[in-house]
Amino acid sequence: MFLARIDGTLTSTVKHETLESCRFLIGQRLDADGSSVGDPLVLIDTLGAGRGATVMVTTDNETLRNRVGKTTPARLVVAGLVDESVREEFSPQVPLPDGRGSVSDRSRDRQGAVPSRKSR
Amino acid sequence: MRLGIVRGSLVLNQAVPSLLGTRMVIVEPVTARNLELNNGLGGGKALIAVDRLGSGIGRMVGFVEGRTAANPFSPVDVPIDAYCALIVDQIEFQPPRGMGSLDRKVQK
Repeated sequence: MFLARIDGTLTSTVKHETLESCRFLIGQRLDADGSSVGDPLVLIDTLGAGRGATVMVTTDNETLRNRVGKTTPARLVVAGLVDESVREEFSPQVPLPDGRGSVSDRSRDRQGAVPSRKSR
Repeated sequence: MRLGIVRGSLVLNQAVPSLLGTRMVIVEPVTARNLELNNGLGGGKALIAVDRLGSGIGRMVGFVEGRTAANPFSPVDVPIDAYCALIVDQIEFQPPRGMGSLDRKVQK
């Protein structure tokens, strides 16, 4: 599960038969600091999430399978609307408990510049 | 489900039996930046997806990734991990002011 911000809508006529009655939204996954990360995602919404709303998305399609049929391929479903999410302010330079460098080192890892194993 | 632009299609003459006769397309995923610019470009790493909707080249589609992509073939087990679930008619995408990928200098 992850948080996403609703940034758009999508309409489609030709689609998999199980998605006929679904409402689609375009969402962007949110990182720990609240910024969007990754490619835009097509989400299936049954709760009526509005533009700009922060929602919790599940990647498990069990609920969708039960509702629209076992053969549905889709799995990103808006599972809840977030009223409030609290993020603790953190210092980027604090070493992590496992001694694998600071938080800022890790965010660099994610961007591709992985330090060699020896330097760890 | 991510968004992608169909760039080509694929025909397999020799394949595992469950895949024979299945139409596949080459899909280029659309990044947030390109969707916001609405410039018709993808920008992501291209991948192959099964297509049963007849998506034409240049069309934007929504494709599902992962094990659930094989659900439409249930109960037959097929070795696929991407499936075109919808063809986009209309899309409207506008991140809040100051929060879009165009507002950031460094792309995440």
